[in-house]
This record gives sequence, structure tokens and C-alpha cells, in this order.
Amino acid sequence: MVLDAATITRIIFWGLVAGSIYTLLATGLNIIFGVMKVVNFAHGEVMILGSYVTFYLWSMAQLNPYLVIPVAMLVVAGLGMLIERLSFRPIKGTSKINEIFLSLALILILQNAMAVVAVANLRELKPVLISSPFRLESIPLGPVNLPNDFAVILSVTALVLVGLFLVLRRTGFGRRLRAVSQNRTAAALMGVDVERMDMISFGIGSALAALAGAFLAILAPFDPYSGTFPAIKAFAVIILGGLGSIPGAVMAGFILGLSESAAAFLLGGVWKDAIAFAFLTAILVVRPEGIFGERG
Amino acid sequence: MKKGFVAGIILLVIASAVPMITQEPYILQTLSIAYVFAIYSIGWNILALSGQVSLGHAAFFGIGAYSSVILARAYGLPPAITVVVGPLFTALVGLGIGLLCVRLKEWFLAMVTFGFAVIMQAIVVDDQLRWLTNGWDGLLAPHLIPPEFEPLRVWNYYALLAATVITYVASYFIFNSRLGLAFKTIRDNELVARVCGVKTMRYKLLSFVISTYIAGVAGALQYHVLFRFLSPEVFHLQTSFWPLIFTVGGGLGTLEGPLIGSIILWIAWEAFRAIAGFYGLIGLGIFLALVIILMPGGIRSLIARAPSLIYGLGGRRKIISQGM
Repeated sequence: MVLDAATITRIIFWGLVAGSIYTLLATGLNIIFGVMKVVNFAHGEVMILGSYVTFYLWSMAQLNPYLVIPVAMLVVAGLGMLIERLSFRPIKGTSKINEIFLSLALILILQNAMAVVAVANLRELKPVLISSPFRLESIPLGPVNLPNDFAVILSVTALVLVGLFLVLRRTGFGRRLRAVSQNRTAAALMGVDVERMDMISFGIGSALAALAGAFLAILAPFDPYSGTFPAIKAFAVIILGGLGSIPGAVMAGFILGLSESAAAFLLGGVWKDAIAFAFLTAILVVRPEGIFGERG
Repeated sequence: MKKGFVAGIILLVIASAVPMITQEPYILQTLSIAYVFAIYSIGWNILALSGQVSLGHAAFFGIGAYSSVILARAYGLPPAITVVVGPLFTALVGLGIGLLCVRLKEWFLAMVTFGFAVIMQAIVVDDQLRWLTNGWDGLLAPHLIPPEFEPLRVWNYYALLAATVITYVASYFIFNSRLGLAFKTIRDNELVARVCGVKTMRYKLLSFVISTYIAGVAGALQYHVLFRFLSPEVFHLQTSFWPLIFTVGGGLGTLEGPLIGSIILWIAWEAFRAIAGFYGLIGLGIFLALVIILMPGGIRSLIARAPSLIYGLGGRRKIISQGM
């Protein structure tokens, strides 16, 4: 393919949008990991839960889908907190392997529960899509047009990430959350309710996943099983950026998004998915703790 | 140990007697699949024995099936040979993934293997490999047992039963040797293992190689004997979950766990899934969660505890994992 300005711009647009989704997912995973020291393998399914909640709210309320996203995020945050309370809390501190198995059980439960609901409502299990009112509009920008959906997704992602950063850095709540992730025992001794922090962090992570899910639902059709691939990409991102590091997740998320998009445009479809694994391999060989991670 | 040996012999006699009692295709097919899963789970369990959890064994199951079927088709080798030789390639891939992962702890290892299975599917269906794998259209696997043998399903049943017994005996010897001891020591405390002079890296790689080889054999058997039609569906997430569910359900890190779990749970699953649909899979997830939360020793621990449970001496349940 000829590499002209229009192609490059297109690669960048797609890369940034894909990067936003990976970044939101990976940031959520990292917040959960930071506080609870748990990697939730069902994060992709939580994301699709966000897609479905947004989809149903949108089709019931007949509003602009972007307006129902905050409600969907709250709903999924609530569900996430419930999941944490019912499943991860009882086995806390037994072993990491149990937590891995438990999140696999969650994958099975969530995927198929969503399938049941989708079949009950749509009669059959077919991929659905949220049709955005901006679908046909775009902003002329250089050699190509930037679709309005892309513009909204990018700016919302940026706002949410900045907001999250400010909450974590500038508020008492953020200080407590960071204290728990640095040293759980010390934080508990200082009077932080660590178990409540677990629940809240799981809620925040789930809400970020729901946001990613809503964006995904606007960009492409989804079904209950669409969460697996994005989740694997998010794992690659957190390994790339360093487990638990939020700046690392943001940076690695966009690096992965852009390089995937470049690979898809220049080399063809299958390489798009292989590149995440290639990155993963390279980083694991060269620097297993990730770009921003700490050794040990 | 002696009690276990007697129990094993009794079970083997019962299993060999099944085709003499009934030749109902559905029953033989269900049990045959359970045997393949038992082999697969025994392989998965050997990796878990050294403290390494793979969430992507479907990759090795599938690579074993593909390499055996391709060898048999391309070179006209009898499947009885390719089932043993083909999975060597799986072990090679396993060695590669192992090299990538030996330095990694739980989470990273789980994430890498989880991703690898999904990526494998994308690679197998790629157009550039179509000449080899035939993309989504899949490949037809030659029969392991030639179709002249009648009735075929009984021969198939015995072939798989024999393979299961061989694998189980092999796993018995691994569990009760220096090798198994080294694996368990690494699982319980890697530092201690190293202090005791166990070359941890070498042993972890070895457990990767053995485990992926067995998973590959299970994959090859599944397609040469039972299903015949090999498609990239084999890399589905669910294929990775089965050995985990069976092993954890049966008893993680124990010799009998994967065997007991595969047979009991697969039969239960077959009984339920016709009526349950999606609810069956939800139930499976809830079952797995409940086992982890309430019964970390799995079904095996129930059987081992049965006498004291019957006499009301069940004792308090403790949430501890089975040595892991």
C-alpha cells in the first residue's frame, strides 16, 4: 500500500481510538490490581456488560447514546462491586491461583448470563450495534475527515483519564486508595477501610471497562463473546506498561493501538492481532517488569 | 497407596466391562470423550504441579491435533504413529512458551498463555497458512482405528481407555519420582527448591514440555478417534477451560484429581447440557466458583473424607487451597 498523508492520518485516527479502548480497559485492570493485587480475567466480559447496559438504556430511552453512558457506568460499577463482594472477598488471601480460577468462573457466568438475556430480548444471539447520531458526520481535518464519533471518544477518554488522575492525586479518597495499593497493612493501621477500598476499586475498574464497552458498541457490532480479544490486548498493555502502573497503561495502550492500526493497514488483518503478542514476547524477554514497572 | 491401587483396578475392570454391557453409541461416545479429557487434564495438572497455571492449553491441544492430522495426511503415515510423533511439535512450542514464561509469576504466566490460545486461532485461519491448515474449512482426520474393525465405536473406546491408562500410569510415576518431588517443591517454595539444589528453571521447562506433549496427544486422539473433523474451533476459550474445571473440580495438584474430575464432571455435564443450554455453562461457572470458595480440595477430598462425613465427623471446612 502506498503510504500517503491520508493513509497515515487514517492509521493514526484508528490507532488512537483503539488505543483509547485498550487504555481504559488496562487502567481499570491496573487500579484493581493496585489495590487488590488481583488480575480480573473477566474484565473483557465486564466491558461487554457495559456494552449491553448502554445498548438497553439507549434503546429504551431513545436518547443520544453518549448521554446514557454515565448511567451505564454507574450500573456496571454497582455490579462490579457486587461481584467483588460475592466472589473475590471470600477467597481473599488464600492464593493467587484461586483468584485466577475464580475470574475464569466469572467469565463463564457473565458470558452466558449475557447470552441468556440477549436471547430473551432479541430472540436470537446476533451481534448488535448502537447507532450513533453522529454516524455520518465528520470534521474535516487535513487530508481526511475525522468522524465525530472518533472525536467524542477521544475527548471523553482524555477527560476521564485526567479526571481520574486528579482524583487519585488531589483528593483524600485518592490518597487513601494509593495508600492501600502501596502498603495494605500500613493503610489499614492508619484507619483506612481496606475492604471497602477493594470494593470501590473494583467498581471504578468496572466503570472504566463499561465506558470502553460503550465505545466498542458504538464502533462495531458486539455479542456476549466479543470481550475476549480486547481483554487479551489489555493484558498485553498492562504487561507492556508494567503491572499496576497507570501512566504505563496509558502510554502502552496508545502504543499498542497505533502499532496495531499500522499493522492492519500495511500488513493485513491477521498481523493486527499477532502484533500484540509480538510486543508481549519482546517485552517479556527484554524487560519483564514492563516499561514503567518496578523490579521485583 | 494399596487401597488406591485396588480402587484403580476395580475402576479399570468396570470401565473395560462397559462395552460388554451396553454398546449404546451415546454412552460409549460420552465415556470416550471423558477419557480424552482425562488425558488432557492429566497433562494440564502436571504443569500445575510445578506451580504454573496455564489458561491457554487449548493452544497445545489444538497444535497437537493439527500437527498429527497434517502429518498423517501429507505423508500418509498411519495415525497410530502420528498421534505419538505429531505432538512432539506441540512440546517444542510448549518449550518456547515455557522459555518465555519461566521467569514469570502467576499473573503474567496466566495472561500470556490465555493470549496465546486466542492468537493461535488467528494464525491458523490466516490465508497465508491456508495450504497447510485449510482455514475455517478445517481438515478431515484419518481414522486411528481402520474402519474395517467392527464395531468401530467399541474399538475406539478401548483404544482411548488404553491411552488413558498409559497416561495415568505415566503420571503416577512422575508424581512418585524425584521429578514430581522437584515440581512440588518448586510449587510450594521456589527459593527453598533452589536452595536444595533443584535447577528450578530446568524443571519448570520440563514440566512445560511434558504437559504440553500430553495435551497434544489428547488433541490428536480426539480428532483421529472421535470427531474426525478438525477446525480452528478447537482453539476456543472453552477448550482451555475444560482441563482447568476438571482438575480443580476433581482435586488440584493430586494424582487422581484430573481423572476423577474429568469422568464425573463430563458425565454430569452431558446429562445436563441437553436441557440447560446457556444455563448449563452458567451452572458450570457457579460450580467452579463454589468449589474454589467452599471445597478447595475438589471432589477427591469428598471421596477421601466420605467415611468421616458419613459418621458425622466432617470437621470444619477451612478455606485453604490444596497446597497451592
